[in-house]
Amino acid sequence: MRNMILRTAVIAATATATLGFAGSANAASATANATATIVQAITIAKTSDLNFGAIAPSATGGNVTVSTADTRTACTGGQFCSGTVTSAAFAVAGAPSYTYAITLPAAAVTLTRVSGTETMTVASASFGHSAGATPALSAVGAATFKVGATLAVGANQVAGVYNGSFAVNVDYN
Amino acid sequence: MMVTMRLFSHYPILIFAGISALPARAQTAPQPLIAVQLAQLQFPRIAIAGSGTGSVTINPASGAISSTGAIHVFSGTAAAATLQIIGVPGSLVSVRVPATGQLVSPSGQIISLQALTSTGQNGLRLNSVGLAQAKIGGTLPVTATTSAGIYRGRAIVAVDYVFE
Repeated sequence: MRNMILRTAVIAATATATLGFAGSANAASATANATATIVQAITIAKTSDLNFGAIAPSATGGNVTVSTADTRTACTGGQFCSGTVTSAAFAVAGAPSYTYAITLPAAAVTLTRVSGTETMTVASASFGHSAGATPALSAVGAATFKVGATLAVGANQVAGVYNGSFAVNVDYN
Repeated sequence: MMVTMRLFSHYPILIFAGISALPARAQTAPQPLIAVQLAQLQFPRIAIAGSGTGSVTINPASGAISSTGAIHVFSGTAAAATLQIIGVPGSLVSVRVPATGQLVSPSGQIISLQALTSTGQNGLRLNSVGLAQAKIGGTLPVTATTSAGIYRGRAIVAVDYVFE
């Protein structure tokens, strides 16, 4: 008799406990994965300066052009050009096989005479590089290219050494 | 005879108690809530330019990618994480993520994700068949010293019914 009552009570208690457990499934958790890929930064370093060589000016002025092949391809206006010329050279490092873009000066670059105020200019449109239409880094993430330009020399330009600087930027495409 | 009488007097009482407990509990204990990840949070490939700091952010609601500072963001795959929520039709659920999380590279470098947010942070209504999707976005900050590599991590997302 007493056993019977006890058994029934146990069943009722079990049912309540099961419902209570089901109630804890009100909450769920999930794992959200996240990924990010950081690509090696692209860097550029100058390895050679642009050098237009020695120029004996004329009465009319003229141009001197240095190509990306390190040759003087023009010396106009009756000037006399001599000496070694070099194009500017750059080394690029970055992620292997990625393509990149080169930005050459957007404005004219001015060269000023050392210990003087006289100037000459290199027109922005005259800058050109040797890296082709779609520059790309090699399989080991390296590239080099050269930059040439045309210097405009004034009539009877004052003799001296003229210096200037320009920036070349690279960025991934 | 005496035994039989006592037996009947106790059974109805106990059974009644058991039945009455069932509907009362069922109202506050809906079917289990399930959350499954359909897509992971994938930041776009980036390159750090210069020596400054920067960040890239994925807006969970729009999926829009924005960046600050000196970084280059490549085009390509990038997406907020997507979670499929399954539960009681028409119910309101909250989908909460920790505000920060860690991504680790194979070499052990760590990036701490910032501003992790879910579109279900303030409640998401399950549709007539009990489904809803939650999106999770966040901000990936980088500095000039962040190494190149693939960074991976995970966040535990908590989904709960919101009782109205």
